[in-house]
Amino acid sequence: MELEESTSPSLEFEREPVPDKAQLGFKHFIGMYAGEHCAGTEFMLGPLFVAAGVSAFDFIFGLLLGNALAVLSWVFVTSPIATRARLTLYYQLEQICGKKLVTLYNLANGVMFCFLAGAMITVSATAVGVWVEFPMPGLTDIYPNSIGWVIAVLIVGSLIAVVAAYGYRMVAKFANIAAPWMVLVFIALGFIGLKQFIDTTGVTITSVGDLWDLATNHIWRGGEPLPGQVKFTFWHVTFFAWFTNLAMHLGMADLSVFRFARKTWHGIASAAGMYVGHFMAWISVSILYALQLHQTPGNTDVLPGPMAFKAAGLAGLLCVIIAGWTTANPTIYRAGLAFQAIVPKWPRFRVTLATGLLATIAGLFPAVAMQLLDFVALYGMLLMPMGAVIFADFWLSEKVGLQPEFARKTGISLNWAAGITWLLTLLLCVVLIRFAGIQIYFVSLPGWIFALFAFLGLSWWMQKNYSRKMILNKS
Amino acid sequence: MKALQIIPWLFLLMLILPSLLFLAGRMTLPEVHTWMLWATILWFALSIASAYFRSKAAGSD
Repeated sequence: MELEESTSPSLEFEREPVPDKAQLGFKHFIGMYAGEHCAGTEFMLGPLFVAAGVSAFDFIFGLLLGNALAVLSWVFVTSPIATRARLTLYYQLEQICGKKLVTLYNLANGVMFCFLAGAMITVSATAVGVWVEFPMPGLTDIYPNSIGWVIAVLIVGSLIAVVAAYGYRMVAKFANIAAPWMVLVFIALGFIGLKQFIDTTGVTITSVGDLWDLATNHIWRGGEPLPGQVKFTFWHVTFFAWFTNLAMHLGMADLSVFRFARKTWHGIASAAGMYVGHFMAWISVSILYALQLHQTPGNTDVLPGPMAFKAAGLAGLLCVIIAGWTTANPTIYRAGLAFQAIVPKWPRFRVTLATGLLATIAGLFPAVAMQLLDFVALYGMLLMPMGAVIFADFWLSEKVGLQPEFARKTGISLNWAAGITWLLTLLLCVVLIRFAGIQIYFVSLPGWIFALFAFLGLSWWMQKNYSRKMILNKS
Repeated sequence: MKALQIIPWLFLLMLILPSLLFLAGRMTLPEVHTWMLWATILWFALSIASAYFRSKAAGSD
C-alpha cells in the first residue's frame, strides 16, 4: 500500500498539463515509490498471508509474478497516458465524465480512505498495548473487545486527526525523513525473525537449499488457513500483489504522479515500491507472525506493536507507530480533500478533523484491519472502473468514431455512459462474487475489461442520441 | 554541512548491521535492540537537523 501525497512531486498544475520545466527525472520516482509502499499496512498484510495458510512457493513466486504484473500495469497502462496528457486523475476524469461523476468518485474515494486510515490507527494503537496492559483484539474480532482498547484507539486516533488537520505538511516532511529508516527496520525485522526461527527449530543452514527447507517446512507451511480467513493459493497471492494498488495503476490514480515523469518508461520506478514494500516488507513481517504461531500455536492475534517490539525492541515499536501514523496522516488529509471537494464551503481544517474522527471510529473496529486483505481488494474493485473509462476514452474513442472528452466538449456535468459503466461493472463484480463463486481477489480483471467495452458501447449509444437531439434543437 | 548530510547514512548502516550480525550469531538480541535504538535516535536527530539547515540555506539563497 502507499503513503499517498506525502512525497508527491507537487500539488501544482491541478487544472493544466504539467509544463516541460516542471518534469522530474527517474531517480525522483524511485525514491518516492520505495518510501510510499513501505508503510503501516505492510505490518498487517504480511501476517495475514500466513493466516491465510499460504505455502512458501505460492508466497514467494506469487509475489514475484504479481508485483511484476503491477509494475507492467504502471509502465504500459498508467504511464503512457500520464506522460501524454500530463493531467491529474481528477481533471482528466472531469473532462470525460463531468463534474457530478467526479464528485461521486471523490465520495467513494474519501470513504475508502477513511477506513484505510482507520486500519492504520488500529496498527498504531497496538503499540500502546506494549506499555499498558489491556485485552487486545484477536484475529476474528469484529467489535472493540475492551475499554482499554477503545481508550487507546481514541487517544491515538484523535492525536493523528489533530496533527493531520493542523500540521499535515510537517508530518509529510517527517514521513520523507522516516522512509529510508523504515525500509531498513523492515529488513532488520526479517533478519531477526529468520535467526529466531533457526534457533527455535534447531535447523542448520549451510546452503540455499537448507533455507528453502526452513521456509517450506516451518515458516510458510501451507495447509488450512486460520479460522475466519480465506485459503490463499499461488493465484490468490499473484492477483492480490497485482491488485493491491489497483486503484493506482489500472484505476489511474497515479496519473497525478506520472504526469511529472519526463519519459514514459519512468513507470518502471514503481518496481522499487513493489519489491521493497510488497515483497521484502511482507516477507519480513510474515516471518515474525509465523514465528509467533510456531512458538505459541494458540496465539493467532495479529498485533504489530508487540510483534515488532519483541523482535527489534523500541526501534521496532517506533517503526509501528511511525508507519501507522505517517500512512494515516496523508490518508486522512486526502479523504478530507475528497469530502471538501463535494462541499467546497466547508473549511479544510474542520473537514480534516471530522474525517480523522470518522477514521478513529473505524479504527475502533478491528475487523477492518484484521480483514485488510479483503478490504484492499474491495477498495481496488470499487475505483477500478473509472480507470478503464479513462483508458477507453484516451486510446480507443477516436478509433471507433467516438468523441473523446465528451463532457468537456459538450459542457455536460454528468456523462451517463461513464456513470452507468461504473454501476454495471460493480454489479457484474458482485454477481460474480455472489453467484459464480469467484472470490473478490479475482473479479477486478474481468471487471476492468468489461468496463472498457461497456463504456465504448454506452458512449456510442449516448453520443448518437446526443447528436440527434442537437440536430433537432438546431432545426 | 556536507558531513552533516553524509553522517545520517552511516547511522542507517548502524541500524541494519546489528541484525545481520545477529543472523550470523555474532550479537545477542538485547545488544541488537540497543544498537538499533541508538541508530534510530541518531538518524532522526541528524536527518532533521540536516533538513533544517538545507531549508535555511535554500531560504537565504
